[in-house]
Amino acid sequence: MSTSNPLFGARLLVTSPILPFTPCRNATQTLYATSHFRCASSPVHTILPMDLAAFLAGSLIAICGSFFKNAFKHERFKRPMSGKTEISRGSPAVFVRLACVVLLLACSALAMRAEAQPLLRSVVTTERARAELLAHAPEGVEPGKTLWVGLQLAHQPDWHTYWKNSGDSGLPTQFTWTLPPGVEAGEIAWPIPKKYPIGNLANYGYSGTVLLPVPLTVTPRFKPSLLGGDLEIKLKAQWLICRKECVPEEGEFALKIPARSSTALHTDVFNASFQAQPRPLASAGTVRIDGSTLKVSVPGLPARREARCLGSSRRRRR
Amino acid sequence: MPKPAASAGYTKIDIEGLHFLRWAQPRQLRPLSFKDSTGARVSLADFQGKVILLNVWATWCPPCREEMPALDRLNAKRQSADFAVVALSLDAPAPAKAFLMSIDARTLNAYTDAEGMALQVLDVSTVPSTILIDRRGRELGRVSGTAAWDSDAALALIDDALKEPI
Repeated sequence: MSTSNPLFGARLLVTSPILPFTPCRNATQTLYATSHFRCASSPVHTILPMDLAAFLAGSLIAICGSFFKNAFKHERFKRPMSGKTEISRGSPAVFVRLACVVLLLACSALAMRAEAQPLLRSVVTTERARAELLAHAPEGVEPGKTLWVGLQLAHQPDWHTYWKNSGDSGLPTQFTWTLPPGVEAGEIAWPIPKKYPIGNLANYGYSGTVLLPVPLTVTPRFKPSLLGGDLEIKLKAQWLICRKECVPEEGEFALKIPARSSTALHTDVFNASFQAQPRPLASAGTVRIDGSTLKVSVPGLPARREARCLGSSRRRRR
Repeated sequence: MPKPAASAGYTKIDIEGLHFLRWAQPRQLRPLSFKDSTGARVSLADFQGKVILLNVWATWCPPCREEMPALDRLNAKRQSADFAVVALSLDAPAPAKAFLMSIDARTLNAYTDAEGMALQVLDVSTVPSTILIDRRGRELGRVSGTAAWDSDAALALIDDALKEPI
């Protein structure tokens, strides 16, 4: 089998122009957005920096407006009556006006920056799966602290996605992270998969709901931004989802993890995934060639796994 | 691009539990080119004059691998100057050829479309997807998922398409 899926790349190539125009911004943005994909409404975590910036800009305009008004009032009504010089009367007004202009410019720059950033989406829903990027940072984001993120895939009945070794066919789910400097993503901590036989093929993967956790290493190089102090992470995930047919799907996710507070909303989900991890054996196994026989010895297996031919289960299922 | 029309626009043909959608009216297909097993460019138009069953598949797709032997058997039964199964893989040529060899598919050529252009051109979103195309290069119908292509129902579908006047 091929180890990479040219289809994902091809679809990206073909579809990226469609992206900004599709009404369903939460669904996987592929060429299918024009055909078979329907974008289901989904509970989406959405942070709208635009809204915040607009609010701030509005407030500042109001404040500045009142300053201007006072400044004009001051000049118009006081100048003829007072004996003070132009400079001493004019300078506070000019200063206020200048300050206002600077503030407004700063504000609009902030608003434009906010607008240029894509909306933060942590959920992508397709006809076949709902995918959500979750974070687990019970001790905040600091060098040396445990920090996990993970993609939770909730499959529709009959559909499944694949393990790191997808078996005779299939493709493993793939992650591409975009992280701030000083933050590094580890490998996916794959939970133990299930076997999906189809014909005489055996494939390994997940159905139902599964979390694919990834540890994030925070180094001292990581500096939380001055505004907010959040760790902003972005993920592009690609997964092949199959039933009696297969559909390559993908999604782009973003999440802000507060650097100075605890994120532990999904502790149960993460713990369940950690529980489902394979465990190292107490002692190492051995492999040796004995004449024309390959002898594999693995001590400490559970009783039900012992003394069974590796190929037997597949043959029995046919 | 032909868009799936209202439900009245097709009849469902049951191929051992899987529903092949046979359009009431043939649909125009957009031009599509891909590579044959020698690496040469071929296009759908090159097959005009023949009825073809175009199967879009990939080695990473378990159901595709499962149905391939049946497509090979169908091709062995009906391949002629009038009919061919065109198995179009979304893989690179090497894995596609290797897989067809591994299942001992004797009659199928390893056509490949590694860029996945067929998906957009044919408006296909799942693999396997199989499209029946008439002698004039028009789509007669399609199905998504694994079908028993060497079953009587599938053979009847092919024979019916072969009977249509040119």
